[in-house]
Amino acid sequence: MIPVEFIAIAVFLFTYALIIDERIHRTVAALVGASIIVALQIVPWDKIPEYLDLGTIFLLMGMMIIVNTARLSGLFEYIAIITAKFAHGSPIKVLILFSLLTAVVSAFLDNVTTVLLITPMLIYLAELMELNPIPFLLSEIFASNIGGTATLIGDPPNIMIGSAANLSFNEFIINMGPIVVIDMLIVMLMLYAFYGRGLKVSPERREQIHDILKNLDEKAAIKDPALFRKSVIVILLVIGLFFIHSSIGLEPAVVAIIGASLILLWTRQSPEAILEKIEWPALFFFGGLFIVVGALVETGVIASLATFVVSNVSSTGEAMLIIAWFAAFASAIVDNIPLTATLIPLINGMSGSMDIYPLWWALSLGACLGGNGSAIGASANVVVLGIADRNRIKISFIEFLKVGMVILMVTVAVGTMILWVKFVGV
Amino acid sequence: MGYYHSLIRRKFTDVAGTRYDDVLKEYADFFPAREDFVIKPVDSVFIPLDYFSPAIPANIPAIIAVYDAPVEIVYIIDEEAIRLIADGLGNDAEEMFRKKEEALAGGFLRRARDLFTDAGVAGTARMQAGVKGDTAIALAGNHDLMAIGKKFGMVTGEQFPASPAVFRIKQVTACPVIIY
Repeated sequence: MIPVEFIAIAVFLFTYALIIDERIHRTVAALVGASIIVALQIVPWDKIPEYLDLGTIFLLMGMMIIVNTARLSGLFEYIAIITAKFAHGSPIKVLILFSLLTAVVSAFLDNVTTVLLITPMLIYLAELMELNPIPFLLSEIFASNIGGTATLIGDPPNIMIGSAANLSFNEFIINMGPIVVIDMLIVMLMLYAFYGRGLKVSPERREQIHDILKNLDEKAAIKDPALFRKSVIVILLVIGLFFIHSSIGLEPAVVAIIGASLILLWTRQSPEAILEKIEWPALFFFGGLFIVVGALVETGVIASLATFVVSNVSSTGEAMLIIAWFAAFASAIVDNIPLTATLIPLINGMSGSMDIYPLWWALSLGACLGGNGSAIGASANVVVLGIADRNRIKISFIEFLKVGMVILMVTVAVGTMILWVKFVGV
Repeated sequence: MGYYHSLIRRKFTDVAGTRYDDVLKEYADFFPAREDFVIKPVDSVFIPLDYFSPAIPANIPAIIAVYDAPVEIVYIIDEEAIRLIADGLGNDAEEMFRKKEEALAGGFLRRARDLFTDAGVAGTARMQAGVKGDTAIALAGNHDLMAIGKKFGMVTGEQFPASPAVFRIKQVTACPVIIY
């Protein structure tokens, strides 16, 4: 008879392989893996709620409702047009302003929605400027992954880490915020060094672009002014609540659900239409993954791995470095969501032997910034590259890898240095 | 298509679903279309004249001069009117009508050519008999830009700022049309 540990590992590896290849939808792959685990009773039915991280799932769901309702107002297109106007037809300003916009929006909303809304505008501007759009698209990807690192709600790995380790929104801002600001500055300088020479348009052309952009009416983007105002208020309120959620004793998922309920109540949007727009495949993907990884916990595989790591690592500082760099490089190969789902129980398993608090930040750093390493490292990458492909803009795997790996190494190195100084000392 | 591109397409479809198409539709409401950015070169301009729109406003030659392209001015004599006069009033009346029309057209064409010459625009001026709308559309096919009087083909009134013939010509011709 095959030991259950081997079955759990085999299902886990099989599911990972399907997720990487995506010939079968990743949600289906995760659900198939979870079904096998549950059918074989590796995770007993009554223990499923223990492994399904409802904190993550409800936080994602709440934010999806808020974003999908706000989107109907034209809020995000409005912001994109205003930003384009600010750039005045200057390629460098477009690169910097849109990277900053992407980073800030990604810090508070999900990265996929952010890049879906900003990429068409960037391609449009690059066409207007008659410039190669690749630098703009790459900078958008990097900004999205870096910006998402700053907050609890910015990137799915952070949501999972925050929920599993009970970390507050402010703890993320305090620990990851400074790293993100410094990394963004460095990445902007690096992108300028890589592409700055090619980002030039003649003064006459710039004037023409300025005239065209001047005629873009941002108010035309606002489809429903009342909904627009209410969306802005609810988003600001929710962000405000995130800042104080730990002081008032509210879980982040509860804040998101309160915001979702409020926006639906206040705007009177049809709940059928809005709930239909929730990315159910993504939520089921998370659910399936939690069960597949739960099987490794249930069978003691994760505990054995944690014991092995602890016995070979002498200090928290060393563990921090290993986790950050392992998560970064692994995230470049595997999507950072399943990777984080696997590393969370591993870190939890090390809690008896060392202080694991710094390790959560190392995991957040590696998983989020590691997404920049390759074309398939994060969902935002895939979305931008997919849009580029549809617009016949080819960015090869190697072309991405060359820039992405440099960005990964530099940003993770800077991040680990800051974490080291903070938690280990000079 | 290599493995990498098909992988990106698969992942994109799975992650973004149909949301990208929705975003594009939303942007399409206020983004100018791609072809709006392409300014086609204008190498020749066509201006039809007739009994109802014989004169060209003074500002038109200045606008055409910007393109630095020659103009072809054609006064179109209504063939149908000639046939009706010949059938109803006989050949002498038809001959008289034709001569008067040609004299009238000659004067209008001279004035038009002088206007363009003064503006530094080269070109030709001639008259031609034909069905007005069809002839104008056929001749416009050889040119990159057309300028036409709003009364071409018929008198207009307050309710009809441009004649039906002009609307039809605007709809059918492939080249851009300036209506004066």
